[in-house]
Amino acid sequence: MQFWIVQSLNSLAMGGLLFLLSAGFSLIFGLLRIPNLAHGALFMLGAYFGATLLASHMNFWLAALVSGLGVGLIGVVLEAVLLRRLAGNEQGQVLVTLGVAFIIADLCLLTWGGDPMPLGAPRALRPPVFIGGFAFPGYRLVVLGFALVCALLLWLLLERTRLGAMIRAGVDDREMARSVGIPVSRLFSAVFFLGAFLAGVGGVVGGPILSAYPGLDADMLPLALVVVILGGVGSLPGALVGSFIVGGIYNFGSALFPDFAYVVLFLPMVVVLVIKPTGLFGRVLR
Amino acid sequence: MTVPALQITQLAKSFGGVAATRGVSLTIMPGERRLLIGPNGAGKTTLFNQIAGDFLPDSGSIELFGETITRLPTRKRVHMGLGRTYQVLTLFPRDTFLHNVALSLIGSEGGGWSAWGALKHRSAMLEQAEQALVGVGLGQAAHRRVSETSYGERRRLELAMALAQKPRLLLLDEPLAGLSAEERETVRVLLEQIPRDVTIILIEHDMDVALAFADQITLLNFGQVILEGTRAEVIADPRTREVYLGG
Amino acid sequence: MTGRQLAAWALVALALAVVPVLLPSAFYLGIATHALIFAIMALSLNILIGHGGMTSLGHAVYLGVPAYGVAVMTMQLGWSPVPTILFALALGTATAALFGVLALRASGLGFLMITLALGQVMWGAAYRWVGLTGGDNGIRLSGRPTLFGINLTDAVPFYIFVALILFMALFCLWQLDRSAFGACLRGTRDQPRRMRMLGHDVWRIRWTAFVLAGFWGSVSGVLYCYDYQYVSPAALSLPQSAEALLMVVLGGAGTLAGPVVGAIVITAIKTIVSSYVDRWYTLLGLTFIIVVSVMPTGLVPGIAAWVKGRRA
Repeated sequence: MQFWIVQSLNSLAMGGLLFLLSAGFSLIFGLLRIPNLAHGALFMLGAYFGATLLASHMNFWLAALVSGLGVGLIGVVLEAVLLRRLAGNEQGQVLVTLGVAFIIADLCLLTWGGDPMPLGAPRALRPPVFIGGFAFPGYRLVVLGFALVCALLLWLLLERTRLGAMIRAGVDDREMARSVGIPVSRLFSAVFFLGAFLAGVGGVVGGPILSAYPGLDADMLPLALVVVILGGVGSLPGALVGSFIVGGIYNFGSALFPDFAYVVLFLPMVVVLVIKPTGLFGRVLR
Repeated sequence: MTVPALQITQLAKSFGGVAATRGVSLTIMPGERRLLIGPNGAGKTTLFNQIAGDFLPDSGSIELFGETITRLPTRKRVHMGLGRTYQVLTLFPRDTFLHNVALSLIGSEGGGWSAWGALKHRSAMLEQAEQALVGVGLGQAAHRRVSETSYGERRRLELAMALAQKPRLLLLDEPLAGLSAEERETVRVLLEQIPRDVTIILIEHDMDVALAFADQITLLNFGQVILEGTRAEVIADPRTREVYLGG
Repeated sequence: MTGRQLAAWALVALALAVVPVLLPSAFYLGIATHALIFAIMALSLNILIGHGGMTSLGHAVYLGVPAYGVAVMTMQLGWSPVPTILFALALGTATAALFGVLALRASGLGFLMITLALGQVMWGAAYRWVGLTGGDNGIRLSGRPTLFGINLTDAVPFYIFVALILFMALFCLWQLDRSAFGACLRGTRDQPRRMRMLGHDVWRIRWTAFVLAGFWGSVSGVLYCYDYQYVSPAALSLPQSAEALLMVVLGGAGTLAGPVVGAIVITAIKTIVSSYVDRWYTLLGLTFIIVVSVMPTGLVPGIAAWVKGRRA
């Protein structure tokens, strides 16, 4: 019983982390029409930034914020300097994001070395929480709560603000958005910042669970891909539902069939591709 | 009783709540020349797309020479004798005229690539392709690449690709679009020369050519059939004026 | 075949034959052998990218899966070389047949993402399924086989073996280029909708191309395993897929010579750089960015255009 409860909670926490990673990935894909293959690397960079800041005794949440801002800034530069000049050449843009992913991964290895760097959770959140006689790892509950708050804020941003309305219009029909005078290229920067920021914050918040290590990027990127293939491109609810599905399968898969954790991931993707290739919440993008 | 070449019954399709085709019924007899008219956005090309199978209708049925094709994939419809040209040229720009028509002939053979061998050794087929080009007056252009030719020649190539397949029902979507007066005359003659065992549905805005060509006219607006009849009947009907002049 | 084509093929054969003479040391001949094996891999990927317009980021699957097939059959089950090779080719091709069905549910960037995800799944399987694959340690072969009475252990016979297979691959892909199927495949790249309207089964054309690419990729995978006498999850990794893609794009997608040139250039750079610094991935990333930004059509078409311009 304890196993199932703990693993369920781990799954939810993993789902929350995946949401932080894939919400930005999905929005960028929805608006710019490219899968940002550097997204896993941005997540990893966030984790390393966080580890460095925590080592100098910064407050955990402040470290998450600062790391997020730093990674967000890198995202903006990536979009403005490299991607914008390749507008219209989507394949070229994807290859550039892949190149950037390799460079970031290699520079992380150069800077922080090959050994994993742990990120300590805030001291107050470390002890387990007891509910009904069962011990829950407290920090995972916090991660889940944090992800849900982020999801709510993102939803409010998209549904209730002018910026959000413009982003939604851009995701629905980019040409239409451009023709009604929405500054699409500034929107690209904003969304790239937001996506990279979330990935960076996710790297720090996920740090106490995953830690920062070389290869974290390659572990996370396929998870984001599967989430978006499952949930549908450019859809926030899709990213949320997809994240929890993938988080659950990944976590239980790793616990029950450690040899096949990745292969198990593949099953829901196959099912969705066969039944509804545009993803659970996906539409055909124009 | 003769089986109609095309029978469409109560066809309906909407995109995200916007109705593009609303209960269209059409009967077209073998050998007929039917003209579809209507203002831009009336649903003419959308109807072609559904006959061709680019997307499936929400309801209603389509029969080609008595066989239901409503849910068949495009290629099966083509193998049953459906041909089409596009308003916006869709050619293979890096290939020669001859290879464009060859692709059309390979397509009508229907899968089973009898040739993993070199294309240029299939002399019978290439001969046939060349004949199709000669048929539209492009015999000399056979070995030129599409990217090196004029717009008018490409329009005729588009026609040659459809005719090479010897279709029984041919959908022509604005075959005169963008042509000069002289080129229009050439294409007009070509259209006249298509034998009567080919049934033709035509969308065309050049009324001089189109009206002379058509036996029957169907007026579409807002995805509905407004009116159907002979040339004289449709021209005389006040609803035609209303649709075009926005009454 | 015309006289000029015959002369071109004779030249290719001569170029391949002269390498062992020019590179007498086993070390450099070994590097040339690596390059030729990656040339076969890049040629196979070019069927998808150049002719089919389908950018795959998971082509390492068809290098790694048959390579593991060879390693497992040889080292764990003790099969002899010929059945091992046939099994590995069948395994790789069957994987392509299955993955093709999945990846071709989408097109364009969806296709790219699915091939990437499937590639990562196979990488993860190789990494975690320690009982079969040895995990991160990989599997080491006890040596190269003797095929048809020829021992492939030494650098020269193995080079000749690889060069012969590359020559065959080039010839087969040249035939494909000129075949009706090749014309259909390029048609689906340029005008998929029109191809449907001409009566073609676009899905089947693409799937056949995918399987064909998987087969030739598997050929390179078998050679890869015998070349390095070792296979690890690196053979299935995203960087491996990306390197193959870069070889195609750098050399010139859609041309016959492009992937070969790309493979030779990338292998040469990688070998030279690795002997000085350990920053291959940074360089790989930079090369990607430079190639995409500066010469998107690749070396071979670029040089061909330049030569044409000089003559005119």
